[in-house]
Amino acid sequence: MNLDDVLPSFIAEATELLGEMEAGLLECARGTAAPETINLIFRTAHTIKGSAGLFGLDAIVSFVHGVETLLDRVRMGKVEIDARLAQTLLSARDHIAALVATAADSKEGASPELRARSAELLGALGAEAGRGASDIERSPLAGGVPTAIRGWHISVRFSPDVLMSGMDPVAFIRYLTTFGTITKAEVADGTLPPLTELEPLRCYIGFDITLETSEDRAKVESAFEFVRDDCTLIIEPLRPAVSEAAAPIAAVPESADSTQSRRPGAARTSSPSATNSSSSATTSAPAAASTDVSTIRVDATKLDFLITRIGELIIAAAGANMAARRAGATEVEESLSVLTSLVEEVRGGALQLRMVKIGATFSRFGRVVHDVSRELGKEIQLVVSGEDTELDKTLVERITDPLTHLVRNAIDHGIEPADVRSARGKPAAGTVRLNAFHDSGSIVIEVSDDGGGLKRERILAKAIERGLVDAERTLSDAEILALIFEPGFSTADKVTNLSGRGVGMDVVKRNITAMRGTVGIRSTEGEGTTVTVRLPLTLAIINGFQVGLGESVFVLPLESIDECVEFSAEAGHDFTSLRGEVLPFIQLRDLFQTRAPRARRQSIVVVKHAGQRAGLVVDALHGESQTVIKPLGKMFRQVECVSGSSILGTGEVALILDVGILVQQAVSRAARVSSREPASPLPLSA
Amino acid sequence: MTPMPAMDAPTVEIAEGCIRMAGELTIHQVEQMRVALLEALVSAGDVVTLDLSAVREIDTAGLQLLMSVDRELLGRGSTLQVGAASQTVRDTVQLFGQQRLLAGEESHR
Repeated sequence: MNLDDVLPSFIAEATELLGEMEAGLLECARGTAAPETINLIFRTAHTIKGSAGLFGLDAIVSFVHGVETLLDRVRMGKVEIDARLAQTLLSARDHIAALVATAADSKEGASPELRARSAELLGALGAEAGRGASDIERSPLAGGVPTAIRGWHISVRFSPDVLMSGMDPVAFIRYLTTFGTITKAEVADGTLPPLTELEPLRCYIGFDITLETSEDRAKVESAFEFVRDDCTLIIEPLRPAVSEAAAPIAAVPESADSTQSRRPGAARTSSPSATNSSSSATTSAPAAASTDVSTIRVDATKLDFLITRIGELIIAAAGANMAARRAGATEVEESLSVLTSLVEEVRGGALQLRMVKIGATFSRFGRVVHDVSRELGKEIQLVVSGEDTELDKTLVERITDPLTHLVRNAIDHGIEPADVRSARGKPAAGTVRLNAFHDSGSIVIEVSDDGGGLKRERILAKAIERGLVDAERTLSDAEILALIFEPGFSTADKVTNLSGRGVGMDVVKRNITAMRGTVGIRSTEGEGTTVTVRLPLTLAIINGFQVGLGESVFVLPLESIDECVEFSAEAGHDFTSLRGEVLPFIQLRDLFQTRAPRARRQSIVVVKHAGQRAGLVVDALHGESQTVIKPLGKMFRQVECVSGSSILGTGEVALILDVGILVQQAVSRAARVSSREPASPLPLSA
Repeated sequence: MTPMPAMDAPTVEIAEGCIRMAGELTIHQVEQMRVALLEALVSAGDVVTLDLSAVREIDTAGLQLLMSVDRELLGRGSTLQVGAASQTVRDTVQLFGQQRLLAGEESHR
């Protein structure tokens, strides 16, 4: 196997593990880490070291070994992990990431600077650990309700190659002492040769241990999880309880070195009290029910190819449907409808593949918040909700930078210094909230803070100063707040490293607009600010609804449609009454200047966007259809009301309408009607 | 599997009839240690004294090595005495019920 081909896999795996390590270390820094978190951090380090060893990346191996040694002592209770040590470990984690990145880029190994940094960090870790070390072992049975002291006879024999695999059996036994007391231990050294014949890298010894603990069998097994495949493990209860007797007896696989008999009686064991129980042998194969979701890595381009093909499959099926209908072949029509519904399911499944939960992105902000709050000396709490909200993979990558800027802004400018907050009666720690949810075909992401809010007067003054706004114009609240998205705008008193240079918010808006999204802002002075980002959910294929306008067909996203009703309104008015509600509407044929004669009975399609409703008046309703979105060329980007195009089964092109823009236009026109402006046909391009 | 780089250079010294091991006694060093020990044992008498007070780390391979030395000497009719041992060596040896290896140890701490 050519290792070079597999190196990207290592990089990807290491990156994931480093992410887990970071999350765990952040919990330690906050003081909210569970014992399992420590184990997790240790395991990530151990796995990275092992994999790096395979590739001969000795700079990584030796550095991670140092980190792992410290983590081992932490998980054994010999070293307390406080905020300072956690911070140093975070730096160490960053350094591992740097080393991994080097491995990805060059074959030459780590530079002298990197190696120097490794030594520096290991020194720092040693000093921190020395500071926090205690020789008092954690009492394994401390705390809680005293449970019946049980224990286990553990008999373990290792394959001769276990040491070569990088495993250290002594370390596993030591680990047992973190949750139990070893009352008796013997080394099975029947095969150990004298020094002259010893092959030092072979393992000749096994262990027979009596462990007193209130932990269950699974906990004991978990201590050996790294060597499951390299050992034979027999665990018998010390004092049989009823439930133990019912445990299943599984076959123990023969280990490579089977000179030791499996039955504990043959090897020198400790107390005989176990032998009268129904002994249950456990396998060294993974027995614990794993709650891990099994995943598979897929090349993104392969996925995109698949989705494109499915799009064309949908079009082809629609075409076949039309042909069958025209030919009047009902049998063919029926089997085609089966085909169509299958294609729809496949489409749904393929699109799901590209959807990822935003929770992974949100959790990255834990580190951002941690770092920024340290830099600025502000205490910040991050509250996250809606982590299960899904969005397209490509959006996730592109949304991270804008969101990072918004979060930094919130901490830097939004949250006031602690003394100001206390004076205002707020808790000293500021809160930054990240929230995500779906709303009528979009994903909404909110970044809020409970800081000082945006000061309208200052924004207005700054805008006038920069000539962005006329001093005489009266602007609405929303319009004033929207000014901060103008390029070069910043009311920050001082420019910090992070923000305040005025290059931030307009870039954020530009990035989001490029994703066909919108960004809005709400703020209450003294209370806080919320920035709302709205992005379209699916990109490639949507559930569409076809409407007719003269001879042309247009498509509306099905999710934005509330209902369709027959159209009736008095001439000259732009609004109608729908069950008592005032509904502004747009005559689409006016918008698109359709020449064909108006249908006798028009329909009004009621659509919604961002909590507002409007009606679109059309000539005909054609029904639902799977719509494959084809983007319009650059030439048509100026056309505001159209967001894309689609090919119908007939081969004709249908334009897809941008519901958001249309609703906004309808609503703002209706608002102006009250100031008695005459209704005028809307221009096609703004 | 390629041998991993030595974490720290270990040493075996012989002085006044005592074999002193220093550094890390782990899988990375055991082969070196074994060879050095064999040499040292050539000229050893009936009682071989080991000084392990400067051993910073010991793992399975290291423990195994110690036990193998013990076995070797038993085979020759000699005795192994550990004159001094570091805390980590003592902890490990006691954890596995091999206290008899330390039988000759004088209490230092």
